[in-house]
Amino acid sequence: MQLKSWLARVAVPLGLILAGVAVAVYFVENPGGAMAARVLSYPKVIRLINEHLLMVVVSSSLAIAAAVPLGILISRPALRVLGIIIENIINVAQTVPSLAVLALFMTILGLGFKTAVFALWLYSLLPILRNTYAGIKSVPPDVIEAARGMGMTPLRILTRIELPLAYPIVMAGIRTAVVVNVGTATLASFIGAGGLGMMIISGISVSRPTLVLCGALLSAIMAILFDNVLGQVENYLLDRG
Amino acid sequence: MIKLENVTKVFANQETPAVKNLNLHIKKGEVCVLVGPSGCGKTTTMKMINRLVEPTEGTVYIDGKDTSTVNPIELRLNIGYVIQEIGLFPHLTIAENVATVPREKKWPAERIRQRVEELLNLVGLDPQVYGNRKPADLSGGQRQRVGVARAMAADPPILLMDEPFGAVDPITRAKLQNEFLRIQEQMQKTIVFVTHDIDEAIKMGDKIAVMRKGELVQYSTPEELLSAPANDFVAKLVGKNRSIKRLHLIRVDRVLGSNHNVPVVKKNTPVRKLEELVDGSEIGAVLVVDERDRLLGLASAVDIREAGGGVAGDIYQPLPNTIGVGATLSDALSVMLNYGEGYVAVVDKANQLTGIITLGFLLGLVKEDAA
Repeated sequence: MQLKSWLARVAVPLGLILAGVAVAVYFVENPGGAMAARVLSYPKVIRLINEHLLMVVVSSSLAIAAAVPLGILISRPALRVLGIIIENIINVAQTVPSLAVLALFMTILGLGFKTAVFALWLYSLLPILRNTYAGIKSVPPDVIEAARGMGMTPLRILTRIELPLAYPIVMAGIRTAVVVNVGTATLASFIGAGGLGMMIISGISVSRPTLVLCGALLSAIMAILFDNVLGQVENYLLDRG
Repeated sequence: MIKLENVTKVFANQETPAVKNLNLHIKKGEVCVLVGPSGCGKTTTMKMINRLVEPTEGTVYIDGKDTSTVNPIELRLNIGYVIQEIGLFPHLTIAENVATVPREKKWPAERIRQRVEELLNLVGLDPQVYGNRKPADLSGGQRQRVGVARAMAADPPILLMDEPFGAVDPITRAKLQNEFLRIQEQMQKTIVFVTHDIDEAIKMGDKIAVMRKGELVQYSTPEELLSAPANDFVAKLVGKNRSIKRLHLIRVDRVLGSNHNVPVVKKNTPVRKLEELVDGSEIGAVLVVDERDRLLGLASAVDIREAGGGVAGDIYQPLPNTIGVGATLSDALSVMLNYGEGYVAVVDKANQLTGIITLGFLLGLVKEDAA
């Protein structure tokens, strides 16, 4: 039983990783021309995947670390007005295309990995912040009032009532942010940050569909993998309370 | 126990006060029902007791202590609170919900577990069956029970209840009300109970505070409210058929007293003495009790005349038309009609005679109302 549930948990991520390896091996072995073969070598593919992963993990972690506390902060009754203002700013900011965000910060911070991480961080901040705020705000007022009436301190209400109830919504925001982040990170190659976007961009510039396909497939698999793993983390934490 | 002195609440951005210069004194062990139409300030009044709402003016005292000088968290931990729609925590199990206040008070785990079990049993929910369920798995009536259990978890002397039985069907509600009265009989808590349902107020309350537009219109016992409404508003609130309501809602033990002139004698009283007494009896008979006031039966004027001598204990007839102290006046009337007699004896659990209700007395009540 224990083994079975454990297998069920690792089956999907393992399958996705295998699919990723298969895709990489297939395209490296069948690059479809010498031009594409220059990009499609094992060391290069591995390096690009690594860069991509690093960008996503660093920017997403920083975004979670910043957005969740900020979301909690602006949901406090004392900061109600600020919360509404920030919520609206977020909604507007979210409409700015991700490529534009990257381009904008390139002009300010220059080319490279750090700029890409910063832009990705900023862009992931929004869905997490919005969901944290909305999640806490979605807790029924009578539940909070019951908690207050029974003598729970505001901090206890936050940790015992509000956060557990908001948790699924917060997690949904984090998953959305990370999945979008994997996709957006392909654009980071435009500002010289590397990653799987490199394959796609070179593929476009030299008209080699195999390159585009390989980069796109690998980043898509990576997005699904992140989503699945985060979903499992969510369920695990939910079971533990 | 709880005293509100000249309490006024004006909410921000509102001109008219929600509660206006209110004075209310609730005694220990009493159920005080705040009743009135929505927006009359009854919930606001209740919330000022546990400082969920701070009074704009005036003072609230609990046990003689000004509550504004007490830490609100401390204050609330010692006041049970049941709200409309109950507000159970949907992510916690029933047992965890009930354990909320003991947990805040940092009781040891074992004591909390025992207390939760005790309380769930008290409100009629098997802890083995329901303890690990979530609120969503329970029916409305069961959730209300959990709400009451949760409020009583740390055995607070005071309970605040805001329409605790509002969200269930009438049959379940009546059942919950009866259960609650039974529990209250044991617990003797001081309770502030908010409702918009006057029938519920009359049934549950030792005292009823009728409110309108933030002001206290009448504060009295249910009987007084029904027999002597302070003004047209109260009269309208209690309704046209309030005589019938009184019969339905008032328990016999509330009106027992010197409302009759039926002599009661010990079984060793000589019959000669009974002859004098029976003449003054409203029902043409005397009631006979044993040395510990337990009801034996009655001796009618005819029995007494025929006996000629001896003691009361020799001549009494058993009396079938009795009711318990918890019965309502309409139960009393019903017993009278069933036996075709104009009276009914009221006895307690030990069969001790506590009083007599006569038809004349009931008619008197109805007549007072009609006047």
